Amino acid sequence: MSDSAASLRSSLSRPATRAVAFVLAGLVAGYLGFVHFTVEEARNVLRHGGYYIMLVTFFCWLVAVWRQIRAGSAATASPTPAGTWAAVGLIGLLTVLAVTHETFRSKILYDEYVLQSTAYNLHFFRDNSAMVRGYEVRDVFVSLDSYLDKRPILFPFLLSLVHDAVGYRTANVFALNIGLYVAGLALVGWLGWKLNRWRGGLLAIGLLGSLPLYAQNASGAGMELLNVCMLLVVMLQGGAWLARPDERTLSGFVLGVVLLVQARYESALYVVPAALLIALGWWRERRLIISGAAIAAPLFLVPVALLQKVISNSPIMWELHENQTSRFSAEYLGGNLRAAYEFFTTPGMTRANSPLLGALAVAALGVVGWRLAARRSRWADLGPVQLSLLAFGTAILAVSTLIMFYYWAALTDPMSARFALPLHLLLVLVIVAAAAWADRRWPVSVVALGAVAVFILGVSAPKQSYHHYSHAGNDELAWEQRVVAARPPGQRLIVTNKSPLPWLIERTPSILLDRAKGVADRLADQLHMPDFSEILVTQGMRPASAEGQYQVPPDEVLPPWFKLELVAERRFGTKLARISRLVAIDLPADYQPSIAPAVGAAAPGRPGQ
Amino acid sequence: MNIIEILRHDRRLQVLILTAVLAVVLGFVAFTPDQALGLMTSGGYWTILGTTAWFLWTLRPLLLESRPWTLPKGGDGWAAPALVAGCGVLLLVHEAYGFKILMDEIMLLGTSMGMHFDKHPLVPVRGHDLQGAFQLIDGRLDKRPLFQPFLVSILHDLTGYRPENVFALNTGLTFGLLGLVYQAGRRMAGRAAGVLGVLLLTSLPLLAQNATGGGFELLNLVMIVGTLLLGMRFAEKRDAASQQALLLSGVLLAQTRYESILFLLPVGLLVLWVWWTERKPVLSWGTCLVPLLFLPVALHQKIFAARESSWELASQPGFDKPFALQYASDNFAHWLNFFFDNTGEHSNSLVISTLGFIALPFCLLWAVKTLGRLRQATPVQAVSAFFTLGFAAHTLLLLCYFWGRFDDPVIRRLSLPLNLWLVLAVVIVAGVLVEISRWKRLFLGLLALAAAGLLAYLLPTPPVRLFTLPFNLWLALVLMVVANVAIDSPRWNSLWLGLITLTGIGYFAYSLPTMARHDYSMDYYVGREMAWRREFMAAHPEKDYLVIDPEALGWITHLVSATPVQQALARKDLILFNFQNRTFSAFYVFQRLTVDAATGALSVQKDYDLGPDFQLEPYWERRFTPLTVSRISRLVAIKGGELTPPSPAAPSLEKMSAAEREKARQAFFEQLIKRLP
Repeated sequence: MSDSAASLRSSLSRPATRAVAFVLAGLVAGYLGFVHFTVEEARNVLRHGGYYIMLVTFFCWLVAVWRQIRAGSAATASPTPAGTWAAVGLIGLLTVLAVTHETFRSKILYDEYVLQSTAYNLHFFRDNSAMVRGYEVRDVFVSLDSYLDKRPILFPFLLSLVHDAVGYRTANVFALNIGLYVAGLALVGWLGWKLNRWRGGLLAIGLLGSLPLYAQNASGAGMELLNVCMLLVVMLQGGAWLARPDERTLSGFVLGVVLLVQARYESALYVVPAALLIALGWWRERRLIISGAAIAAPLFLVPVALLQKVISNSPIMWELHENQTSRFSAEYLGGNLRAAYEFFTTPGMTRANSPLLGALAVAALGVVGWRLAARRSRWADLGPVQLSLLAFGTAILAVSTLIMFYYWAALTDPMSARFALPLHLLLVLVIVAAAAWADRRWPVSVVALGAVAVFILGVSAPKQSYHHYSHAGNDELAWEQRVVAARPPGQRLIVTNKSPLPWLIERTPSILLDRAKGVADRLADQLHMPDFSEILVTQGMRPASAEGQYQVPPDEVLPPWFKLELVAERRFGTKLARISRLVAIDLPADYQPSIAPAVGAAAPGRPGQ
Repeated sequence: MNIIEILRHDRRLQVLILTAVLAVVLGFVAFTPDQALGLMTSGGYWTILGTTAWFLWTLRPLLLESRPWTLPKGGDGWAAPALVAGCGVLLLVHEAYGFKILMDEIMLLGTSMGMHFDKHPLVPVRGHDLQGAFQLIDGRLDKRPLFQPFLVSILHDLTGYRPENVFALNTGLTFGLLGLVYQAGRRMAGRAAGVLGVLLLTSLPLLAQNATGGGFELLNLVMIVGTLLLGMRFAEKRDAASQQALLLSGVLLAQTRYESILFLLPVGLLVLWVWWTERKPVLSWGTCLVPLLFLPVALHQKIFAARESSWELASQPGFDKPFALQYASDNFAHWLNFFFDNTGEHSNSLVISTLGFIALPFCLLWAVKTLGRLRQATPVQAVSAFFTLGFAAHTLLLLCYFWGRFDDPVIRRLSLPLNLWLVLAVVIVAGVLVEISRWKRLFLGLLALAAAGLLAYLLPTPPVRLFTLPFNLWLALVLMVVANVAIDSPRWNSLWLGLITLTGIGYFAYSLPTMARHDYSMDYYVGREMAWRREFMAAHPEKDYLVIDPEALGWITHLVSATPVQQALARKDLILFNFQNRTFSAFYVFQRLTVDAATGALSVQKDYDLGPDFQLEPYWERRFTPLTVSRISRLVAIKGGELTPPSPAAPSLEKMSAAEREKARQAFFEQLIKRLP
């Protein structure tokens, strides 16, 4: 190494230099994220650069974790083989339970399809966007019209990596989520082990795994399990940082937090406890420890700021209900709190809740609260894992409180029950911590494990078997896809009353009913062209009285000159879903021809188009 | 021992007596049948769960100590597992999995369904998809014990509900049974006896039929042999842990099949004998609570004692009480017809029947002799003798059962414990014989042959077909006796070799082709009809249709909406409402038709007749017997009802607000729930 290089390295490794670099990076990130780009520019940066920024971040995190594991493995105690096998057995049992009761399919309309669609474009075109329309062009299914989605990129990015590794198929998302389910249980078991050795580990695994809401996501296509996993990862990395404050642990922790922030919208708030823990580490060491990853971290967060900017300026993305004007408001609080209370306390089969977890958590929160209050100002003397748990637990409470002000956060709604997952995770860990303290006098953890076993057989298994909470909307869509799959092979166009996304990710062209009405002349032409073997239309029918008297809702009615032939019909709850074949379109004389779109205007990632 | 003194000083014994009295009062006196039904409904699942969990917990240290899964050292350590695996496969490969005995097996499946979904032991009567999930709406308690449905429900819990889980359970139990029989034989008379026991059982086509069915017979056999082995352990160790495992096994055995409660007799005698020889009761606090675990058995009994119909006396005309000595002679003739049938129609094993009935009298004599001098007997011999009493009591009970005809397709399975006893009798008697000189053995063998011939001569009723036994079996028997004298190896006594050879010949000459043909399953067309229903369901995987069928439970347990014919006739309005509103994508009717032998004309059997108001269109049809045809038709119209609702014109959805639409939806949903069939 030359003298000048050594001198540069020495100056760069000086704490003061690093502190300056860190502040500068923060300022630059703030400027780029909030000031420099217009909304449209931000949208373009995210669409075309989002993938690569995430790729670099993720790769850096992997390297940091690898270095951390290599450096730290010898210093920590290890679980016993018997405890490890018990944990592996329990995880295996819970995984079988989770994946055998529910069908692998999306659970939340249409959240999960958007994520899959984004992953599709990331995989094929490195374009961070979801499809609106798509057609097969020269044997390649091309996304012709796309938009930047509001959902953070980490989950679609990971899914695109799976596609990269094994080839594109929609089932990859389920493989990813099963992996995340197992990883989540393993991580919570590890955290539980750190709190109370094998009793804590098994109890944590049992409590989280017996929660139907957690199991529901194992066979789903959402990003919730990733968020839970990342929360657990940063809790563990936060603990590792406090246990051994050095550049390696800091890099892993900081980059983990950067990923967590991009796992779910509201996870951005976890930056605050992470910053506090880093500051605590500095204070304990009486020096500033800043790694290269920590300096780069603000820049890695620029996409988060840009996405926030795009969402704030795109009210259409907020998906507000009728008569709602803002996403967060105190007026939503009362209803959301009532729903949350009902969710945590309802004993029936209809909710994906765990009354056992709720009941144990009440007692555990009391114990932990009392223990913390008794410590008064001596909180900083807590162990590293306990401190990390305290910081992130407080943040989870803050995030959960924030969600109570959100317009669509009634936990009794199957669509929004998933918001409660981080809170459930916190409750699990609080119960483990309280049981660890109580174990000194009574075998509380063992009794709780027995209760978990009875709960799994008595409540979790039948709940997961019925999975009342997973049927809304998805049954109908799955039926449509089965009916279409059972028809003779051929390329089809689906005119849907729901969303084209579920069809597009299967590489089946699809448009909405409204668009079909707008481009009826083109559809009429297509009926005589060989591109589609048939055009299928999905509609619903609703009862108009107590006696039934089903009718097609006005927004799904097609003009009478669309000639349909019924293919299949099935009841879902009180709704009749029907699939018809478009056999003719007799355009009226006064029909105005539709305007053709500019060819190739929105074909993403296709050079030369 | 001074009983009064012990009673005065042993608190555990005092508590045991108190709990026993309490169990009797609670089980037989305190509750009315309706209250008993309520208790069973709400607590039946949890009681059997608790009992099973306790049993497993008790078994755990015993297993850890004896480590039965470790293979014995030596080159042939794998021999026994390989034998069990091979024989298990042979039992399973010849017949397709299916529900063989209707409605018995479907009722058990229904109970497991209720236990899985709702944690109560009720057989579903109605079930529908209301809002995505198939929900059980009504149920009733079945007369069958709860242990087998409980185990199936655990499989449902762990792997998701599917009717086929019961086949998985029975497959596992098949291997388990063979393994346990090997262990029992080995304990009684060495490894060769274990091998012989396994081979003999493998030669039983009836076992193969049940191994691929959905019944509780396999579990019953496993529990009998398991209890026998635990009895041997207790007799050797004489500790509280072994006793508790034995008692809990007995409790679960009593909840496996109705009549298996009789095996509590050897269990009780064994416990008392050990207490007597130890001159004190061997008791743990846990054991004191065991009498309370019999409460479900007593309550179950109470509920069904109040229902005359539960004995199904009406199904067999001419009988007015379920048990009577007068039935014995008739039943015995049918038993002989079953055991010595050589046509393959009765799922019997000729080799078990021949060897078993020769060995049985000797076995009884041996048991009486052993019980008379228990002090000199080894623990294994004592337990074998006690269980011989249990098997004898069980056999006697079935002999006096009004429907105890083993050559009846539905009843054959009741002979399984007797077949097991025959196998064990062969093993026990052979175990005694190997201890005596070869010339005595020759003499006894010839005596046995003569006895068998005499028996055939003295009972010349048509069902007795001893003289028509295949020639090769007789020849093998003679060869065995001769070989027994001629050969004697230090490792494998010639008697065992001869018996194993004989079993092999019996297996290949008779049992295997019988299993391959499985005429006994084909003759029982009700089972094939159920398989056909399952074929229909497999071909219609959407399960969005309603079936009208007297055996509605067969469909409901497969998550298909169904209603009995009588219900459809009584509430035609309900069918009409659902027909008009397309609640189900299709309506099917299952009917059985009789073919007129002279004209070939088809007529719907009375129980399946929907009358002229329901217009049907044949959809699937199959002939199961020359004069019986089963048909699935599609309901296309109902007389007296329009295909659209007759009520006044509905308001247009377009003119309704969102709230009004929701109100209409709610109102319709309430109607739908009330008016589902």
